[in-house]
Amino acid sequence: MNMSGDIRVKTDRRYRILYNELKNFVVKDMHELFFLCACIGYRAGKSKPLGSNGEGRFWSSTITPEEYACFYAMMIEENDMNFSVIREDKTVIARMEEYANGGMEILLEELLSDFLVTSGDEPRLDHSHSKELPKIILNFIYEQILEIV
Amino acid sequence: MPNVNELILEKLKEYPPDVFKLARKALKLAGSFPEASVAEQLGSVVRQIVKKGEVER
Amino acid sequence: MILSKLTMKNFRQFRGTQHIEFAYDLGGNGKNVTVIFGENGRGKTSIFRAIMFCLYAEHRLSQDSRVDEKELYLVNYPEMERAACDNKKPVDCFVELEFSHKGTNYTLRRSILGMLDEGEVIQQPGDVLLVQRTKDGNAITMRNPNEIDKIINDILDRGIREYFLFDGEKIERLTRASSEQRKEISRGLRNLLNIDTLETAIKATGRLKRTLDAELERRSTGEFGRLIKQLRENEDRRTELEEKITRLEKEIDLAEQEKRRVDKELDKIREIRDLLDARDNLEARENDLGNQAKSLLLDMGTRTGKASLLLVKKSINRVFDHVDQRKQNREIPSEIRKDLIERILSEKKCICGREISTESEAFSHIIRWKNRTTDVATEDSMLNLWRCLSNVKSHFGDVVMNIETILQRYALVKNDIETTRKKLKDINNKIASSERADAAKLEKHRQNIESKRIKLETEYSKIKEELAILKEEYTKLSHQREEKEREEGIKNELSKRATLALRTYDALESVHNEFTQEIKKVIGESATGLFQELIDKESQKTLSQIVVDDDYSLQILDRGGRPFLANISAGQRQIMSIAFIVALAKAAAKGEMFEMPLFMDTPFGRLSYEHRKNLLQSIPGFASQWILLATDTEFRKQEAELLKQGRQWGKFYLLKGQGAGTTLINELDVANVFTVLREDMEG
Repeated sequence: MNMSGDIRVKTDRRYRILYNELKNFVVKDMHELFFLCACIGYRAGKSKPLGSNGEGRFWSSTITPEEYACFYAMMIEENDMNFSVIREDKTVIARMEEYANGGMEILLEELLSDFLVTSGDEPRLDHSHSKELPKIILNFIYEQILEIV
Repeated sequence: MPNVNELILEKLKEYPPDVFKLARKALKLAGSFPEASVAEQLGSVVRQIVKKGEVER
Repeated sequence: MILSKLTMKNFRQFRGTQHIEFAYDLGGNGKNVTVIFGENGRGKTSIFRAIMFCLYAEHRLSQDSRVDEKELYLVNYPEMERAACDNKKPVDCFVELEFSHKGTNYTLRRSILGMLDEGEVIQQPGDVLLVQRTKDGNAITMRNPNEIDKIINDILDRGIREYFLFDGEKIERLTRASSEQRKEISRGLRNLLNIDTLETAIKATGRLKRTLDAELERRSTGEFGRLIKQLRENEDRRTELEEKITRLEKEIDLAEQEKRRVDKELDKIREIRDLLDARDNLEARENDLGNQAKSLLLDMGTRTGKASLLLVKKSINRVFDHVDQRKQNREIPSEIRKDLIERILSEKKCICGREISTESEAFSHIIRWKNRTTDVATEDSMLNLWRCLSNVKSHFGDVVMNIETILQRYALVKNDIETTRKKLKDINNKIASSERADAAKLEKHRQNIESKRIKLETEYSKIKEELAILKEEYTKLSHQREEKEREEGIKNELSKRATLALRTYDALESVHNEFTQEIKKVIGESATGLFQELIDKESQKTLSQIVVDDDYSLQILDRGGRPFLANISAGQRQIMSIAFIVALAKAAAKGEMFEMPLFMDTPFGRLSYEHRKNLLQSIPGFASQWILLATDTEFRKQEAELLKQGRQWGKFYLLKGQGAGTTLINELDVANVFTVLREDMEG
């Protein structure tokens, strides 16, 4: 549990453009989008290994302590409160990459599909009518939160 | 504000020598000639720089 | 450049020979403020025109862009009428300006002849004469217009003269969040940078690059050849799109201008004036609301991060509670270290030395104890995590409330926008079905222009998007090209030349970008400093920084670094523009003493008393000469009092109407101005 900053966090290479486009728009930075996807994936119990599609997206030094703490919490809960699983940050990050991958799929299916154009196999935003995306994302999170509360 | 062209050259010094040479020449020519003429003259300059580079190697 | 005296003969409203002496600080008495006072239409702007005409032979100011050349006569009309009746000779008109610059005194006189011929004004440029007197008493006389032009431009470049005059129009343009504003700013900054040479060099290197690449494409085969081709196609497409963008910008500008022209026409129709006023207000409201919505969306983007924490609230609570429970049970931090317990179990010996049998109850107890304790590292982790999670939990309450608030606010704004749009539609329909046929026709035309403008803006956005994608693809392809070159050891001479040209082009572009970014930063900082001096105390608390965005629009940030432009008042926007222009003008004066006269034409329009006060007290300190053109509603006893307190006020001129088309310039002693000024109840 070192909150290491030297791990290269990976996402599916197909989401490269999307990560760039959503940055500074619906999230401040890439780690926030990654965190959001990981949470969505974890809540839905959907993890998806990156396999050979993984591509470095950002450095773990940008992950905030709060986000890291949540990653640890998720990891521990998933492993029946076994705290030894958070010893190696690489393992934690790798697991969160899988959840983020699954979470991104959910996000694409349930929310973003109306706002995308696909060029090749890389989805990208259709800027002509995605101006309200920050509100849509925030609303989505809010509705999810209400279910918990 | 200090001389802009001097500042530009200072920044260009950070680039490899052959790039710096060509850029400096482009700037010098651009001060006196129109775009098309500069482009034409740069054609032989770039040839010289590349050739010199090969000789030095 | 310091102005000392302006003499006009038959120029615009100034019939006969009249003059103005400007207050300037050379004598060290600190008085550098001149106030030129008069109602609208009495010639305040004409004084500025006179100077522009004298220096640059300019007939037009930027505000005249849509005025017909025929209506822009410089020669005094009544005098031309008299001459037409009397001797039928052309009227002699001139402007003479005495000024000094770097120790040399100049007298510049430019003439123009004007006459009325069957009701039509005919004007003809006359002579120009420049006399230079150096410190050692030598005088040089010049009559060649080109030579004179060169000297004047060396003193004060044409491009910078824009910043001489701050008028309401310019300030207004800067506050509009539109392509006009961006162009204004982009032009201002480019003028400052003086990087024409660099831009030519970039274009030339670009040409060279394309020539060499075309040659390379012809000669290359396989994968490498394909990449070169793709790069070229990408560039060609981008050039095409950039040309399209330029065309679209022009078309959008024209549409906006046309719309304003139509609005002016509609304004003349009394019957629909109320509707027009109502429409103006609604459009302004729609614009404001639109900006608010944008601002809220930007804000929402910054909140997603914290909001996401709540998605895993349950997990956080579970883990937190788990550790918390163990803490309460005193299981952690454990009183006895796990490794000690393990040693006891392995040696089967207590710390006191007593043997412990594996069958004994004591042994079982110790095993249970071991299972409950954790090693030091894990214990530390748990405690650290507990602390972190405690911190995360502390955000929960606020986050939910913040999300609710902002979503509600956004919903309200959107609702307002819808209502406003409905009302606008109603009004537009009313105007279109007006009994006045001309009004109805104009209105239909206006609606067409508006639809066209929206279409153009949409196309503009699409093209910008495509350009961004192409640029990205280009970068990708460039990298692939370099990879290929390395892989295949492509070392032929042509390829090297092409690569060198490419790298040099990139280097020059990069330097260009750096400069542009730097100048934006410098101007932004300078403008911010000035802004802080001019803005009222209350606003100082919220508004922190002026920045020039990537697209050259002006933005103002609050203390949290968030965009705040949508929420500021018209007065604050005006102050922002003034601060920006002064920053530009200061930089344009090349960082030496700000030796350039500052003309401000009725700048107080929408400003509160505090803002006026700040302006009156600060501006004299910024500039070596401040010439304030003001109307009676703007410059009252209070303003005069403030100016007097600064002790920099040197001259006061009253422009008095003498019948149609004629104004008389009266100088009044600053001590006696109160007799002509208004008193106003509001402070």
